[in-house]
Parts: sequence; structure tokens; C-alpha cells
Amino acid sequence: MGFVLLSLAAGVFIGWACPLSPRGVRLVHKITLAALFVLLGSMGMQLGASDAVLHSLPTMGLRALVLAGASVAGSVLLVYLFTRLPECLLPGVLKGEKRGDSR
Amino acid sequence: MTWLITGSVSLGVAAGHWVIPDLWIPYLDLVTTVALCLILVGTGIDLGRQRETWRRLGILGLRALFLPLLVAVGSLSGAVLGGMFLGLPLREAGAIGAGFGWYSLSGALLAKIHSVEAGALAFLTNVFRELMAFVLIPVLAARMGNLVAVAPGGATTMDTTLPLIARVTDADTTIIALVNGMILSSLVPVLVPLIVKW
Repeated sequence: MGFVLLSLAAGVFIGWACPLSPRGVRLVHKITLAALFVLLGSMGMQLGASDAVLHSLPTMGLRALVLAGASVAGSVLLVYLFTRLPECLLPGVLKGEKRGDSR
Repeated sequence: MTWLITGSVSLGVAAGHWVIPDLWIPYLDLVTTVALCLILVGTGIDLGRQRETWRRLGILGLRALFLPLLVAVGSLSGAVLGGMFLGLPLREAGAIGAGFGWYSLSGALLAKIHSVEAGALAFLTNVFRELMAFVLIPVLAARMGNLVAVAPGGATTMDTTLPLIARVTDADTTIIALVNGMILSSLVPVLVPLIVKW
């Protein structure tokens, strides 16, 4: 777990302390994208190498749908409830978001 | 992009099952770790260089933290309830919900620090979340308000779903969505390991 936070913190520090040129930014994006594909391919290989995981994939799909639906429903419901609070109780960022304000 | 990513995983699954010799499997862990570090450093550089957004966050102050806080609490509670319904360990369900739609990172993190099965479930769950967000954002913006439309996107509101949010809401909501996505993205690598190891 430590390497996760360290890598992220090192990146934030580099990005903040030495702003990259547009060319540098493009290079970082390319390297990150290449690493992402290597990571996903390698994750896929680990999955494919395990028969137990492969057999549970259909069940996993259904579980993933439930978890995704529940996460989305939870966040939508909470934000919706807060935007329905009386104006005087609303935090600033949510003000002006009463019913019918959306386009 | 979503199709390219799911294609890479599928290709990897096929290679892992039919092509890669068993002797190579232990080295995949090292490959995953190195790739994950590179992604995190790259993501960090991207987050760190956006000084203007961080400055704006400073101006908005605590108010800007309110929306991501609601989205985070809602996602975690929803995932835990969903996990209870499915009979999953609550820490695992919570950690999967803490992916906030960032499927590549949450999947890889859980595969690395917990189990390959949990990583696969986190990956699929968060892919589905992003797909749901694309469908729901226009509907929610029209029926429930602009801020509610930001909620389903989670961490993806700083990149993949931002253009859609910009199209169906207004400029203020787009900035709030960008800040929301940045804060939630910064929380993924912190919350996922914390919750699963709790």
C-alpha cells in the first residue's frame, strides 16, 4: 500500500514543482497510457491463468452490475436529497440547484 | 477508449489461459506493480500540474469539497448495501465502491493488495459505473438538476464524462464537476487500500 501513496505523491510533487512543457505532458500521457495497457493486459493474464476465476466470471458480471447500480444510486440519492434542502440550510456549492434549474 | 481497455483485458485473459506458460505467471505480479507505479506517477504529475484548478479549489474553499464528499459517502454506502445484498465481505464491497468509476486503478489496486478475484470484480463494477454514468448524465441533468447529474460519474467527471457534463449542464457545473473528479480521483489510491485493509 505504501508504494501506491508514494508513487502518487512523487507524481504530484513533480507535476507541481516542475511544470512540464506541452511536449513533456504529451510524453507523460503516452507513457501512462502504455503502462495502463501493460497493466490491463497483465491483469487479464492473471485472470485467464486461474481456472477458478474464469469459471466465476458470469456470476461476477451480475455482482458487478448490482454493485455499480447501488453505488450510482447511493451517490445520486444523497446529492439529490441535499439539493432539496431548504435554501437556508444548503451549503454554498449546492445553492441555486432547485427543481427546474437544469436545462 | 472504454472498448480499447476492455479489449486489452479480454486479450490478456485469452493469452493467460492459452498462450502464457505457467512459469511466467509469477512474474506478472512484478509487471503489474511496475506498470501501476508508472500510472500513479503519471496521474500524480497530471494532478499536480493543474495549478489553476487547485487555486480555484482554494477560492471555493470547503464548499468545493461538499459535492465530492456526498458522492463519496453515497457511493460507499451504496456499495456496502449492495455487498450486503450479495453476501460479499463489507470491506471488499466498500473498497470496490471507493473506485468511484476509475476501473483500471481500482481493479489493479485490489488485484495487487487483496486478491485477483476482487480486482476483477472492482474492474467490472467500475466499468459498469462509467457506462451507467454516460446513460444517466443527460437524463439526470434534465430531470433532477445539474449537480445531481455530476453524481454518477464519480472520478470520471474530470476526464471521460466531463465533455458530456459540459454539453448538458452549464459552465459553473462543469468546473464543479472537474474539481469533483479531481478530488475523487485523488481519493481512490488512498481509500481503496485503506478500506480493504481496515
